[in-house]
Amino acid sequence: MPVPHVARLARNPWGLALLLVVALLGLAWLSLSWGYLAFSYQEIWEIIQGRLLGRELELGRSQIIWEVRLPRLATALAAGAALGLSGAIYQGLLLNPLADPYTLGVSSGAALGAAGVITLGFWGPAWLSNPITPTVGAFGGAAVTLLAVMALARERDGSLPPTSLILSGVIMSTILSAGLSFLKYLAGDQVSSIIFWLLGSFVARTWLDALLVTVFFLPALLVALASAVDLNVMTLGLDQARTLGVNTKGTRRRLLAVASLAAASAVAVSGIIGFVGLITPHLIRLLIGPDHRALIPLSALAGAVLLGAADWVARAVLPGEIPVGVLTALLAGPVFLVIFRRQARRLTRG
Amino acid sequence: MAEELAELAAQDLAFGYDGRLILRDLTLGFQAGGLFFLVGPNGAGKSTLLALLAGLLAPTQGRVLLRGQPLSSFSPRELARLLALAPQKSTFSLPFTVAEVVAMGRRPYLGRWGRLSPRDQEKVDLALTRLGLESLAGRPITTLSGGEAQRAVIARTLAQDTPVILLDEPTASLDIHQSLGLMGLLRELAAEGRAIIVVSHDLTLAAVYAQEMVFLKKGRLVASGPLAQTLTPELLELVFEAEARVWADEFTGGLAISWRPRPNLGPSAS
Repeated sequence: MPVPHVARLARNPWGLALLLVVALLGLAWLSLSWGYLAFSYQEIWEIIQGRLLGRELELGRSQIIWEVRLPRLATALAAGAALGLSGAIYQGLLLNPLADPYTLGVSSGAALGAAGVITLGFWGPAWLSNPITPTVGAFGGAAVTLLAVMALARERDGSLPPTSLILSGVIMSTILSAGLSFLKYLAGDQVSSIIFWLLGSFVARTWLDALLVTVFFLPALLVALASAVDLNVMTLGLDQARTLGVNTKGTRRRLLAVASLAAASAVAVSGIIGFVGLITPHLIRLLIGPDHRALIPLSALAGAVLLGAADWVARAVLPGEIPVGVLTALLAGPVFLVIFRRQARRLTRG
Repeated sequence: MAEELAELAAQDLAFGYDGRLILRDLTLGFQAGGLFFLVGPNGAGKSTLLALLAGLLAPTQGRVLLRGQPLSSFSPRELARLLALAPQKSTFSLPFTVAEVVAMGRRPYLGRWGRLSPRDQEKVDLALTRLGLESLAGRPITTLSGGEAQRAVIARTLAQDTPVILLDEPTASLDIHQSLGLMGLLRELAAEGRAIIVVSHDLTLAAVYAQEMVFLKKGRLVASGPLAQTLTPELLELVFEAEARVWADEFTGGLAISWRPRPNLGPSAS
């Protein structure tokens, strides 16, 4: 038999999974040990064990690990995983390499929700001005936007054509951006707190933030894995999927819902962090091929590694801390351009 | 024709939207072991009929019976184990390999995580072999030519291993060598006891390979029955508005057709 021509760099998803897990552990160690104060591997381990087992510890140093660096790392990893997962689902479902939480307007909705709550906090009752309310606002904004986009795109027979979905998403995003600009104008001198939230950052994230994302990420991952075969079949076209016994309407709705909830939870705790959801599935697809049974979990894992690494660089490597959303946009933007060019060229060559 | 005994049957089938019927008064039966050719001019409603038979469209009136039961009484998975459809056009957006695409035909038999059993793998390999795709098995489907991709889609339909197989213009992108091979394969599949229903524009192939013909025109059934009784110059002229000669051809063992040339695309003299 001739050597099969396979345009895949690594044929074994388990090998890549192992590599990503090792990268994740290495990254965790780097993130926890590096910083203004350095920690050794043993000390980190003792603090984590001590906290879990309720031992007496030196308060200051153990607080830095347990209440600052570890929750921040956990939030970044969970948000990265949620963004990678939702990107993989959106791209497979809509068969559009540009589909991600941004194209569907989910992120803009979240941003407007958060900015709205922050602005209200300037004049409204005091309880509105606390770290939790922007998160709740973001979540509400994302959910309402997704429902509106789906309602706009829905055909009479209840189907959701990919092109209508993306067009509706772009239209909604434009309207929401205008709303956001209006809020910034209203906020006047206090506009910086909105802008800082929008830039995307994991500064001062708590265990609660990590938990919020995880609560939405895990069920989304399970639903996506259970639908991965059907998602593969649906890429052949909805009619073909139906003749193969796939409930295309139900599967599409279910996947859109879980991907959007996962993305919304990530935006809610981290602000706007672009490109992770867009670029991670592309990279993984390039490495192991388009099978969603491997693509979905590995995109989540790689999203966690990428965003965790970006946050570590933003916090500990660069001379002054910069918002991680700026960093991911600066680094991943050009990578995305390269991928986009390659695909465009392949399409024009036919 | 006894529709109740047919593997697949249409009963008083009609389909339309906005009050306009595209298909009407269709009563037809497709028996197991038969190779049926569904023919008619453009716009006759052939593809619509195929979509109705496959359960992709819901009839406006009447119903489709599969083994005597209405299509709606089957779960999607049960239906997919009984009836397969090879569409005319497929768009491949992701670089799945040919083997992976063909394996998707096993979807109605797989568990939640999609693991192929040795039996599933056997069916996939057999389908690849029958369509002559072994050497292309590892190629990304996005890099195939039109004919190769069409064969991959038919192989996927074969891997589904159903008693009823519907094919929409299966030879449209195939060369004559491949078309003849495919027709031989369809004959084999019918001999295995399956009902094979082919929508085709190629009356030359139909004249050689069809056992039964179904003629549609303007959404109505004009005639149906065994090849020798239905493929007549009178019926061809009625359906296609072209003058034809039909004769028994000992070279093919079937019928042969030739057509009287026409000067242009204007209305015909008759």
